[in-house]
Amino acid sequence: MTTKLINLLPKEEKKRDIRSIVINVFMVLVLIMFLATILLTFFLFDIDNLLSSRLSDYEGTNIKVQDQVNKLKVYSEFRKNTDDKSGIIEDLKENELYWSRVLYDIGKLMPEDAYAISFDAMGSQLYSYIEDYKEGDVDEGRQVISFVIHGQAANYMDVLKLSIELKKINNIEAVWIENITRTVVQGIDLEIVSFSISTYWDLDNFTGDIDKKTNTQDEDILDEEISDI
Amino acid sequence: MKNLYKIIIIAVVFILSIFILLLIVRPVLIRSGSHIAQLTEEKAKNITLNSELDNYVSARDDYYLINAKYQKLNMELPEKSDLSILTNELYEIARYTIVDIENISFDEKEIDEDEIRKTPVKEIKIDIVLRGSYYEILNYINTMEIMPRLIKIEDVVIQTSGGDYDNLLAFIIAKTYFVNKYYK
Repeated sequence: MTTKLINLLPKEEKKRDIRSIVINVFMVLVLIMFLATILLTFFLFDIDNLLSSRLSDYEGTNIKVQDQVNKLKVYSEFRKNTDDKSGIIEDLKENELYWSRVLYDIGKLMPEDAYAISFDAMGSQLYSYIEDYKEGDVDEGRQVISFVIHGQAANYMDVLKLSIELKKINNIEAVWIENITRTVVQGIDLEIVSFSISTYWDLDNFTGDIDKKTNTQDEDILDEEISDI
Repeated sequence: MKNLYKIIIIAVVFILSIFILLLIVRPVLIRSGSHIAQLTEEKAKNITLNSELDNYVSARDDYYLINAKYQKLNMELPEKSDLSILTNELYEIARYTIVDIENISFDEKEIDEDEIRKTPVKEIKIDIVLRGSYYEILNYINTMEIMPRLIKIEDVVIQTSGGDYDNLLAFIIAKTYFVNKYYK
């Protein structure tokens, strides 16, 4: 049979059991900590579940969007191919010569008493010059021949008229009379002149665009360098 | 309650708490951290994908317009040399402009092996010899210049043959192009 001691001393006289108090405090603290741990566990599980569901939502959406992107990528690549091709064609067409216009102008400008025996247009020389210019491989003051006309006229005045008129043709800078030779037409005993005229391109009209393009490219490179800094 | 029991309870509860922290809370925390990182990544990916999608959708909306442009460009710069079509077109133009073609020859420019991947187009040189009056030849050249396929006329020589001005002889050197399939 257990006995229990009853302390009947007044409160002021009673001895305080400090160890018991400390243990009680510890026990309360540990219990609070335990409860907090349990609550934290539930809370974390809840958050984790929420995160998991959000993540799977995002993953699901992204898979769908990626699928759409893959399907639509073809259109974008097609647009890029078209733009690339357009750029290539633009480059090829750059400084293209239209000889029909020159021939039309010559036909219109030819004096009444003069006619051409031969016409020799040399566009390939201009195209080579432009290629050289792009590579920076041209001599200062170089002239590029445009076309040469050999013909006959009633007199030298007609040749001079023609040489003046030829200057009116677009992109022609210089007209050079190579020779004027007196000729007698056999049989009818008619005196005429044979002539030969060369014309030269105004090269600034062709290189201006290239310079502009180069300057723009240089400015772009400079802008990129500045933005990098 | 005796102090000893209380100490035992404190020890048991404490150890239990530590076990819960180590075996349950810590893994959940680590997993949540990884979920947060993944979620941030997925959010960023979602933004990128959506902006890509917007671009592509606009490309799809413009498809018919772009396709029409592409078809036109394909006529200017075909994927293959298409010499048979080109020859037919040149003869058709001659028929239309009333000139007689004496000779046509084509010569494909060779590209060096080092340059083959850097050159977007291949070049074909066309030599044409034809007969006609001055304005017929002019008309032929003009039609060549404006035909759908890109043709650059480089050199033209027109000569009289035996003083007959309605029957001039013209030598035309032109260039046309097609896509170089090896271009990268």
